Amino acid sequence: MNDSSPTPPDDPEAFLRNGLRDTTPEFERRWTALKRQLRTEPAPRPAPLRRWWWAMLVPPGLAATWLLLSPLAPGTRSAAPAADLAAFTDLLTLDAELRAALPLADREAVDDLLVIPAEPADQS
Amino acid sequence: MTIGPVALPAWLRLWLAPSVITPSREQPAATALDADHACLRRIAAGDPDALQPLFDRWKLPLLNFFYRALGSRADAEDLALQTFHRVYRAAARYRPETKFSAWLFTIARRELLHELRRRRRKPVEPVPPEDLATLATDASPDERRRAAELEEHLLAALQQLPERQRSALLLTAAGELSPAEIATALGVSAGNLHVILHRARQTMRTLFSSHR
Repeated sequence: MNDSSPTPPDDPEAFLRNGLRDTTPEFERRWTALKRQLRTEPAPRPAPLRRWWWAMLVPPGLAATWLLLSPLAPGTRSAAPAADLAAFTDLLTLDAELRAALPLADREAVDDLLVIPAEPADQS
Repeated sequence: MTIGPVALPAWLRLWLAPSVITPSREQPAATALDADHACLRRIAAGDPDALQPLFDRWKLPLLNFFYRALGSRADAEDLALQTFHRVYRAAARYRPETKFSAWLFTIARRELLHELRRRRRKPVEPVPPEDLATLATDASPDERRRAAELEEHLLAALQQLPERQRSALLLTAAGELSPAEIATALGVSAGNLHVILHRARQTMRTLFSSHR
């Protein structure tokens, strides 16, 4: 390559800066055909429809979130009620056992047992 | 599709279609939007003819990008047309916060990656030297032969780069995009782009000099 060449031979990027001089007639013909095709295609879906589509997903999403976080949700309703139920069962069992011994106690003792003062007397 | 310009309250129009309707609050200088943005808004509003100015402005940068990335003018023309088709279909989803050039080449690179996955490696098919802007129109036969050799070696060297390095180098050399836009199009950070370019240049110099 002589000095009149516009391309410095030792720099590949200089070569890259200059690409194709022009398009081909075939390419332009295909572009014209594509333009014609685009006129027959439905218009690109605008943003509002897309936004409405997502907006329609909001209520089901909120419902799903509520189900997951509510006290009735399967994950949350198992632990605390199970503990309460066990304590209540113990209480019933204790009551049944003590009830059998009730007739053995005298009247005053029964009254003392059933009427427990809210403020226990000082034992000291 | 045309959206009634004044029938809806301003807040509702902003929420519905900030990319289709020109919002006065978010973009105070609507006239300062560049021509590419304006074309996209027209396309999104249902005007396919608005694609023509974008085609005229970007066809050669796209063709060069694809041609050098694939080493085939025929494939480059296919992908360039596909890219314009995608631009048309995605115009309504374009967000003005992104520069059009970065958005365009993001789409172009996606097309390129799809093509690279789809096809098997093919030998490069350089264009005749007369088709290259590097060659003076009154070049001698010797200059033409030399330009053809260089182009073939260049394409062969480019094919040996990893795709990301090759795309970074091509987009940088084309000079149409800023480094930030190139980083956006490639999905990398600005710092990472610097590293990618450095490696690409090193490899190219080695490969290119070994060809000469």
